[in-house]
Amino acid sequence: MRVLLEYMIGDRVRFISHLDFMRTIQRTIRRAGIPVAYSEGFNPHPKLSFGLPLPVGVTSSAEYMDIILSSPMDTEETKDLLNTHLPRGIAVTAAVGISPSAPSLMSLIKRADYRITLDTALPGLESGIQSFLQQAEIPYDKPGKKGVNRINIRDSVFSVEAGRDARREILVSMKTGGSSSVKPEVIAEKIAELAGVEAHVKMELTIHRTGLYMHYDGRWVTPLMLKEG
Amino acid sequence: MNKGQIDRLIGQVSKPVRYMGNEYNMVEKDPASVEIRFAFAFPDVYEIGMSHLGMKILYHLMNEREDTYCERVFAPWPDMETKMREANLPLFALETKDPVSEFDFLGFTLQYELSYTNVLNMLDLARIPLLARDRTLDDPFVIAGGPCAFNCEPLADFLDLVALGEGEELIGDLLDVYKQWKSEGGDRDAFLLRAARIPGIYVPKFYDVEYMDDGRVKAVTPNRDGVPSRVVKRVVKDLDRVYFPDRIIVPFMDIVHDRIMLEIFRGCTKGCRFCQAGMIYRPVRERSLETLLDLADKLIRSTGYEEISLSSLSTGDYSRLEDLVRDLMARHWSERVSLSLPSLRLDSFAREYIEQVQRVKKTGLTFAPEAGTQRLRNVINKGITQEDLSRSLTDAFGSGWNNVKLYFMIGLPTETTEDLEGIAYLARMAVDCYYGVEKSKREKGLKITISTSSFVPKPFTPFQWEPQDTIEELREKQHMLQKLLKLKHVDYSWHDPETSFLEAVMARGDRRIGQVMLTAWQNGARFDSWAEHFSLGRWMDAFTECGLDPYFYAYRKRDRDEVLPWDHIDTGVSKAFLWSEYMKALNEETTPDCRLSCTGCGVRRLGEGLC
Repeated sequence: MRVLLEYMIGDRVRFISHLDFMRTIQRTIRRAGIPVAYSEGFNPHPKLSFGLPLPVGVTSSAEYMDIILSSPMDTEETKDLLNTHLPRGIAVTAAVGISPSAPSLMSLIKRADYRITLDTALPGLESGIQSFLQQAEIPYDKPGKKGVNRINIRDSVFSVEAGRDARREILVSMKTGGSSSVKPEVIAEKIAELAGVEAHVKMELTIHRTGLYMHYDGRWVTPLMLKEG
Repeated sequence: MNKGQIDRLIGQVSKPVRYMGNEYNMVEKDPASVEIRFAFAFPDVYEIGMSHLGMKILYHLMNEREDTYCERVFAPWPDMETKMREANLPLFALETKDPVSEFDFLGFTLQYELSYTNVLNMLDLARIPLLARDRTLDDPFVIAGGPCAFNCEPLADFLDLVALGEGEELIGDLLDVYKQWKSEGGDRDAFLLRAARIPGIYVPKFYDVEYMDDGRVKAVTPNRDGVPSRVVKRVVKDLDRVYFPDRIIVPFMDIVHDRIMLEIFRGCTKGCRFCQAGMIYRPVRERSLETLLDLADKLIRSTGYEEISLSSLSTGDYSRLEDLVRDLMARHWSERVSLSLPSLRLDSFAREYIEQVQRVKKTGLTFAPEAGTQRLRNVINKGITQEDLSRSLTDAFGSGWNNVKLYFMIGLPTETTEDLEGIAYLARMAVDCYYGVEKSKREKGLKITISTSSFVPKPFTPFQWEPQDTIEELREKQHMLQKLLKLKHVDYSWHDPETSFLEAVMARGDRRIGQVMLTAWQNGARFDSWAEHFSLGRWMDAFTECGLDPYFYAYRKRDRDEVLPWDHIDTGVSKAFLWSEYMKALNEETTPDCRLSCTGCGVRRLGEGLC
């Protein structure tokens, strides 16, 4: 049985890395007594797979992973058991059964939405967003393993808009994967620059991932759409 | 500074999770609801400190008390220290993020000498006066425990109290006395005087040290009434009755020992003469099989850990090791919990264990012959023969292991060129053992790692009177071994002799070293056990500045009747026993395992029926 989990990462655990999270979930599964399937071999590991890794320091309302069970378990029960045994700050918000043959989350997720909050209000934020959207080409030198790579970050976003607090919040919808993907703070820094903040000024940001989406039948949907039956 | 600001700062440094807290099983209490706040400090980074079993025990033990909230604090890595100083953020505890200066106690565990400058740095970051005599009623009491506390004279000026021996019972006594003092009121000395009457508590300021003109200690004498002339360590009598946590904090980050540590016994009966742990943790006390199996069940359930290690000074000596390994495997195999057996002794190693263990996980095997020849092994009383080693290696290779580490020490008393050649001989023998195993039974890709550390004479051991080899001598020996060990399948690694030298100075230091330490710290010394931060030059300058000679501490042979700076501390093992062991060492005579018959070390004095 394959179970898809949606979970949130809260403020009090926002500094854990993706590897830290994977270790945590494996131990949570053991504490909770979830009948997870293990791989064969000398170093057996539980059959888990994850969506898009969450950057260190970023919180999230909706992350996804799936787990293969060696024997069936009610999805609600799975969710409740995990929540009882997860560290405070991490919680499973939904669990659904999905087809064992469904493609991997990693390959399905194409869009990540973020809410970026600036510590200090920036009066020109909205105009910065407008000028970001108006440009066709916004070059950025992306650091990579073989030196920097010049990319166009205008290409890496689907949409950008100001949030409820228009002088502090940026809502950005970003493409995931591919060579043009960048960290959300890169977009925020560019917008701030376009709004008149000097490029070398380090801004204090709070970044929250609001959702991850896949494209299905001409719409953006969450991976929970994979639910069987 | 509020939590949001602290979080902001944490987000700017490497490995922020070190300072985050909030791990599973972290204890949360309302600080306003307790009478005592205790900050348990490990003077190194999180991933090292969190690997320490003693801290886990005392943390959960203290938090069992409703009147106490124990929190944790580790040494901030230099990038974090810089940020904290820039932002004027004082050292805070992981649980509440409150400044540790507001706590009643700041307790350090002293696991190695090269962490001492981190103690000073943490006090400074906490804004607690470094010198105990400068502290007021507004400051916490600074207490230290752990193996290095037995000779904590170099830190004496910075500590209010020292806890000697096992803390489980002592800490309760101390907290009770503190509560009483707090309710009655009084100055700091009033509490310290009461605390000094608790067995195992040493208050350095209540002892005066006199020196002779040549720099040796003349006498250490109490300067108050009601203070014992010798402080005897605390020992827990029954390991089945003493507290052991059934839940422990599960860190998010990958720490050094990221597993359940099941403490199977304390003490060691082998009597290796270089080994301080083997002397100061006497006598041997085992936990019963039933208790251990029960604890393992509970700990796996409460942590979800995927690995258990059996913890002790000499795991192979546990009287029911076979049963324990078999039962643990049988119970937890279905949950894929693996078992690792560290510090396995050669002479008790058996093929069956190897096969049991590899059912789940196959890590490298480690053997510690410590010396290259039988003669030198007799000197240090390491009762392993070449035949033992050869048989164990052949067994291991025959069971599919191909990665073996052999640990040795160089600079041991009476060592000659022949002993170093013996190390290379054993390396070649290991290769031969491998090729002696039928080709179909052995795993391809043999790797033998020979690792040497440099001998550091430690207080409370038979070698406490011995000089250390000089840095130059150790380097020469390492060069020689590099040449001797240029062998196929063999790698050689060694320790920096400069850090071993400083370790030797601190280990047998007296109170005057405190000034040197303060100077070195002011000149930037911290994280001395980390090669990238250690600078011997900084320390040598500090010695010059303070007018003290480090060679006096590291390289000098002591006389039998010399008053040692730690003679007023009683570990149970008598000085007379240590001297007789020292003499036997020089005569290349061995002393049998004291499980076979009592060797009269003196520890029996500490209690009826202890051993």
